[in-house]
Formats: sequence, C-alpha cells, structure tokens
Amino acid sequence: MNLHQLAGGPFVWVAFAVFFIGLVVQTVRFFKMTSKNDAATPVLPAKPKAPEKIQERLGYEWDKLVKRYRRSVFHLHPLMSVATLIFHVLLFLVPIFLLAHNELFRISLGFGLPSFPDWLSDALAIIVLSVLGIFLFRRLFIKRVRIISGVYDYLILIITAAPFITGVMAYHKVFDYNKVLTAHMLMGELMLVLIPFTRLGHALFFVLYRVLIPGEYSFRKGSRRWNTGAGKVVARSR
Amino acid sequence: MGAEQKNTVDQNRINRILERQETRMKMYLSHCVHCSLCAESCFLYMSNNRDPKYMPSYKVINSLGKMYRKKGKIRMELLEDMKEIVWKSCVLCQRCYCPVGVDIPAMISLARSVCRSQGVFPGFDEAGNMESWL
Ligand code: HEM
Ligand code: SF4
Ligand code: SF4
Repeated sequence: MNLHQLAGGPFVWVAFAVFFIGLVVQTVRFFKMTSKNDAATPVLPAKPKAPEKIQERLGYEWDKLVKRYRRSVFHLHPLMSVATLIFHVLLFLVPIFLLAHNELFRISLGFGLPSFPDWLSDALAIIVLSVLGIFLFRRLFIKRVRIISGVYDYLILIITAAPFITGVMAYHKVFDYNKVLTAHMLMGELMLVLIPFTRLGHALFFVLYRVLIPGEYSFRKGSRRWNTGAGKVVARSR
Repeated sequence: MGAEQKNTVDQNRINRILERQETRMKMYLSHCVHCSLCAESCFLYMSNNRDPKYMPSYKVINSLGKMYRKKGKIRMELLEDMKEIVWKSCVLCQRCYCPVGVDIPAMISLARSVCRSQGVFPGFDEAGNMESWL
C-alpha cells in the first residue's frame, strides 16, 4: 500500500477509533477527578412572576433578553463573538454534511447523512478559513492576544486550518489532485486524533466544565465537584 | 517579603503542592484557548487602563503555567517575579468569566500556596511599601 491508500483506508479507522475512544477516556478521567456534589444548594429568593397578559409578557421577555445580552461577551466583543460562533458551528457542519464524505460512508458503511450541495460546502469552508484568518490576525496584531500567544497557539491554528485548506484545494483541483487529497486525508486524521488530547479538547471539556461543575457562569446547577486535591489521577504518595 | 526569607527553595515541597492538583490544573492550562475574552471580566484589568498584564489568562500563564513548566527547577528569582502577579494583580474575587470554563482563581490560589510555602508573600513591614499592598 502506498501513502495515499493508507491514508484513505486503515488510517481513517484508526483516527476515528482514537477520536472516539479518546473522548471516552477523557470523560472517564474527568468523572474520576470529581464526585457527586452533595453540598446543599442555597435557597434563592423566588423569582418575580412573569406577567400574564400577552403584551406585557412580550415586553418582559424582551427586557430579559436585552439584559442577558448586555451582560454577555456578545455585547462586549460582537465581532469576535459572532465570528467564533459561526466558526465553531461550521467546523462541525462542513465535514459532517459534505457530499464527498457521505458518499465514502455510503460505500464503506452502507449509509451516509444527507449533504449540502458542493457549492455551499465550498463557500462555508472558505468562511471557516476566513475566521481562522481573523484569529491569526488577532494573535499577531492585537497586543492583549499577542502577549498570551506562543508557538503552540500558531501550531493549533495551522492544524485546524490544514484540512480545510487542502479540502478546498482538492475540490478546485489546485496542484496535483492525488497529492493534495492525500494531504487532506492525513490532516483530517491528524486533527481527529489530536482533539481529545490537546488544546482542541476544549470542545469536550467546555461541556464538562460549564455544565457539570457548579459556578457563577455554569449553564446548569452543576452535579459534580472537584475531589479535594484532584491531583494525579493515579494517586501518588510521597 | 516574609521576614525570614529563605534564599533556596524546597523543590520537594513545591512539587508536593503542585502535584496535589496536577491533572486538573494541567487540563485547564491546556484547554485555555488564549483568546483573551476573559479580560474585561476582571475589575483589576478594567481599573488599570486595560493593561494586558492584568488579564486573567496572562496571570495564570505567567504564574502557575510557568511553575508546571519549570517543575523541579523552580528558583527563588522565579517566585519573586511572580509575587506581584499572584498576590497583587489578582484578589481571588472569582468574578472572571471564561467561555471554556477555565477556573482562573483556583489556579492563582494554588500558585499562592506554592509562593507562601517558600516564604514569598507580601510583608506589611516592607520598607515604605505598606500602601502599595493595600
Ligand atoms: C461550544 C463550546 C466552545 C467554546 C465556548 C469554544 C471557544 C473557543 C474560543 C473562545 C476560541 C478562541 C479563538 C481564538 O482566538 O483563537 C476557540 C478556538 C477554537 N475552537 Fe473552540 N470552543 C468550543 C467548542 C469547540 C468545538 C466543539 C470545537 C471542535 C473541535 C472547537 C475547536 C476550536 C478550534 C479549532 C479553535 C481554534 C484554535 C485556536 O485559535 O487556538 N471548539 N474556541
Ligand atoms: S482563560 Fe478562558 S477566556 Fe481567558 S484566554 Fe483562556 S480560554 Fe480565553
Ligand atoms: S479572581 Fe483574580 S483574575 Fe479573576 S476577576 Fe478576580 S481579580 Fe480578576
């Protein structure tokens, strides 16, 4: 087998296996480091009742929405927030609903998901790359981002961009199609493998941190707490 | 500076403190996407002319982050450099907002433990400096 065949065959399944098993392993690690939160929840004063009349109710809900927006990072940084929201949504959607990917799934697994038309996927991939361009710009030219940026941050940006750049190149037949496609498969596989174990793991841990651990900004009441000295997962005595 | 400031550091003691929470803290350090969105949520950042050095992520990267990177080889000068960050640039008010859920004050707090264990903490008797720590 040559590299092209490896990347298009066994590597795909290895990458998916590492990706899914990695996510499970990391989730289990998190559960081992936390335990059920049995601390009493403080009793908060009852919320004022929402008005019953439909017209007042609409105004009331609108006020609530405006207040929530004012307190959020969307109000503070509208451009970055919208850009990162679009970026994250598309990061999922583009590869999952890509026609070519689903055709391959249909061939190998017998089923595939519905897909976007190719022109749409192409446009969305270019949007993803543009937002990555914005991220890069921020890192390079905005002082407060620059002083917390290092080699690793740029590496993660490149790793994220690579499958999209090579994908768009393959679709438009830029350079040698087969070579670009090999690179595309390898870069996609690399990203899958890295997600559970690196910076990209924020995708999983964002949910664990902000849904399961109680806190001022958590989305739910939170059902877990960190074990005292959530240190080494394998306890070490000294 | 504590009255009986030692000049050498006790690596074992530091390691023990760092290892108490190593997995959790390393997860936070690795999952912080270095986006700077936490900046405005810190009142010290806002009230110091938006000086990036008061940004929550800057403060952890340059205190606890460095401690884990230099674990086993932490020198007194390093702790002295961090003294201002961990004791003065953050008051552990726990109001910082991070979209990813990184717990900044928990990290600063551990960095404080390390510093305190080596006698690096503000002394209110520092010559003429009382005000600056209040
Ligand atoms: C939904 C919860 C998530 C939040 C709140 C979140 C937040 C962020 C933020 C604030 C950035 C900063 C961009 C920058 O300035 O560099 C970022 C970058 C990034 N996120 Fe997420 N993320 C989430 C989920 C995900 C998911 C599910 C993925 C999928 C793999 C992902 C992958 C990435 C990538 C690849 C980057 C760019 C890397 C970088 O710039 O360092 N994120 N994320
Ligand atoms: S602590 Fe959170 S908000 Fe601040 S830079 Fe890191 S990921 Fe971004
Ligand atoms: S805990 Fe520290 S970093 Fe967070 S908002 Fe308060 S002073 Fe700022």
